[in-house]
Amino acid sequence: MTTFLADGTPDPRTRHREAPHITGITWDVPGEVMRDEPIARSDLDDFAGRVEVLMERAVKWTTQIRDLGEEAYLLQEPIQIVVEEYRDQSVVARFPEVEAFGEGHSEPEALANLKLAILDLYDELAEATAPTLGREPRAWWRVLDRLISVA
Amino acid sequence: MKWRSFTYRDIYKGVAGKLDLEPSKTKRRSPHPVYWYVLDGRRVIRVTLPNRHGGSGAISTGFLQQIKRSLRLTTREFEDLVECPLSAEDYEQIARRTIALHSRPS
Repeated sequence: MTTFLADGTPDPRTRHREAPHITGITWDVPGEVMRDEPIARSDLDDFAGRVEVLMERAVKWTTQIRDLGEEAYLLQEPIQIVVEEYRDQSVVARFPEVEAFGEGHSEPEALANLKLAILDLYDELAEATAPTLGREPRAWWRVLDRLISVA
Repeated sequence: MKWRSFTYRDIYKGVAGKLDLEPSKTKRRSPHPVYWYVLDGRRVIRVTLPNRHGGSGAISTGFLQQIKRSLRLTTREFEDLVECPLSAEDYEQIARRTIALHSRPS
């Protein structure tokens, strides 16, 4: 956005930073020479698609959980997890190595649901017999079996 | 994009129904039902679906993203699966390919 100096003239440091404004099929850059080159509809569609992709990206951070919320299930070491916050305010906490996740409206709610999901996955895999599971679920079990001890 | 507006009914019909997912029988603490995709007699892909009854309820972007991720699908493939162009046979090919990519012989 252009800002102005005390004498009312445009600040040269910001004058050229003004975002171009799309008007129909031409780019109108305020304060600059009008470009009348047509913009292909496919370019606009591509641009819109890229904006959509950016809009659906989550803000991500990592944290740890040290307890699963049930006394009988003890974590042998903290679990590193990923938290994702989406633009619709939904929050997902996930333990990528075993593909477990919890969802909620806030980080604490998502973390609490992730703990339930991990406990459910542990119990489910503990009940299963190896020949009925594919390679990945068997790998999840190896991870959880090392991480969790049941009192 | 379309996938962000999928409802529980869309997901149940286009994913659980079309892929003939097997419901997990384990007693659960979490409110969300879990399903397995079975390939060659083995449970290979685990999908958690939202516990939303009534059919037309919206599902959060985060939850939909996890369903898509669990199924190992791109956004386009996920939309095609739910909206029909992608058949169960097409999905089986994708599943075989992605499982082979993610799994190495032990």
